[in-house]
Amino acid sequence: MAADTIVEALRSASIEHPDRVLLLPLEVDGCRPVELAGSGRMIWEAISERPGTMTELVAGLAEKNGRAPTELEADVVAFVDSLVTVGLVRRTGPGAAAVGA
Amino acid sequence: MHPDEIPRTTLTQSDAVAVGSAWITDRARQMGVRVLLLKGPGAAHLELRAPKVSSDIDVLVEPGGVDALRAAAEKSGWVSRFTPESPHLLEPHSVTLYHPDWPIDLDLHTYWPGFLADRNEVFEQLWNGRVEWSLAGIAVDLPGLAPSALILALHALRRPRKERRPGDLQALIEATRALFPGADASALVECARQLGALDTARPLLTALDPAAPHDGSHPEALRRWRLNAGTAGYTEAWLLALGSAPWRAKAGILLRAVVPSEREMRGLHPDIPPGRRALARARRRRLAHGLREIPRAAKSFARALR
Repeated sequence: MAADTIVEALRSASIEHPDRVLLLPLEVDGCRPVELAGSGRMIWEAISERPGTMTELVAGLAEKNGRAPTELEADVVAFVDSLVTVGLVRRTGPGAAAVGA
Repeated sequence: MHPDEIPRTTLTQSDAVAVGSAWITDRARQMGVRVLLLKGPGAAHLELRAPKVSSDIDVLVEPGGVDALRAAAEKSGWVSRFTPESPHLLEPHSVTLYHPDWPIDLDLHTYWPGFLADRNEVFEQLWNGRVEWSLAGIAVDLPGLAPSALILALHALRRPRKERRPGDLQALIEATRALFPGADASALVECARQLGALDTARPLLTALDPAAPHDGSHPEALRRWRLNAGTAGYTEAWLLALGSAPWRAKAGILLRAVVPSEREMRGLHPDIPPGRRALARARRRRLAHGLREIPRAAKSFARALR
């Protein structure tokens, strides 16, 4: 199950702007910068502050937003998949091979 | 909570310089290649100039490290720019790369013109005195304050006729005077002595210390530096190549000077319209300009020989 995987940030260069964060993944080739804002930025910051399981990530975001974890899980998992694809995040542990492998 | 898809990003020049500098430093570090960031935001951090938006990233790479680092950059989508085959007064000192999605160039320098001492020793000297700084959240290395001042001065003095920015040197002199007040100027002069820049960075040094000594231990390199400093084009370089070539090679050099290849012409002047007529017109313009430059180039030679 995806929620059992551990999610951790990979090395990146970053510039904080008031409304967004600019990130350049350092562990993949391509030099493709990405910008994150709003809830995407919130997910990224939660991951980069502390690696943890997907369950912990969803629970933390749910608590911060006053929502039930089940309401957020699908969106968070999908966004983490996007972060894996661009080289900002790594998933390890059970179920990790299905994404970004 | 519905996070959007991650969109493509259009970089500003300022952000591109910061994250690009962090990227190339990190990439070099992973490869075990030592690099120093020159000019750019690092110079503003050292208070040698006011913050301004740079159009490129200047990286000094340890001797022997450029080819590997260029290959790593190319693997990440950077493309080497055209390099002219015409003769140079100063040995080519950098490879320039661009990235189709980035608004800046990446210059990987093999050495810094104007530091006339042994290149290995120059790099070690710069590296041993480096200053660590954080750029886009990544630790980067800058040359120390005194060598950074010299690097900016040499950049301004390398081809002042071409750059046409005399204000840069004057502003640098003012900034350096404030950073090296009174007797502290001797530290800058000593740094210049060690790097072989006593004669090449003279306008900066004498502005701070009128008694700054000459060096004189690199006469041929200094002659070429002075010749180059007086040029805006390539006339002197062609004349020097012609003069120093064996007789049997002179005709070939003269032909290349007068009728450069189409690749060379279009690489040097990407604004030439397509077609043979446009190319011929551009060649005529270039030849006329070169001929007009010869008297001035001859004077420049005479000055450099004095």
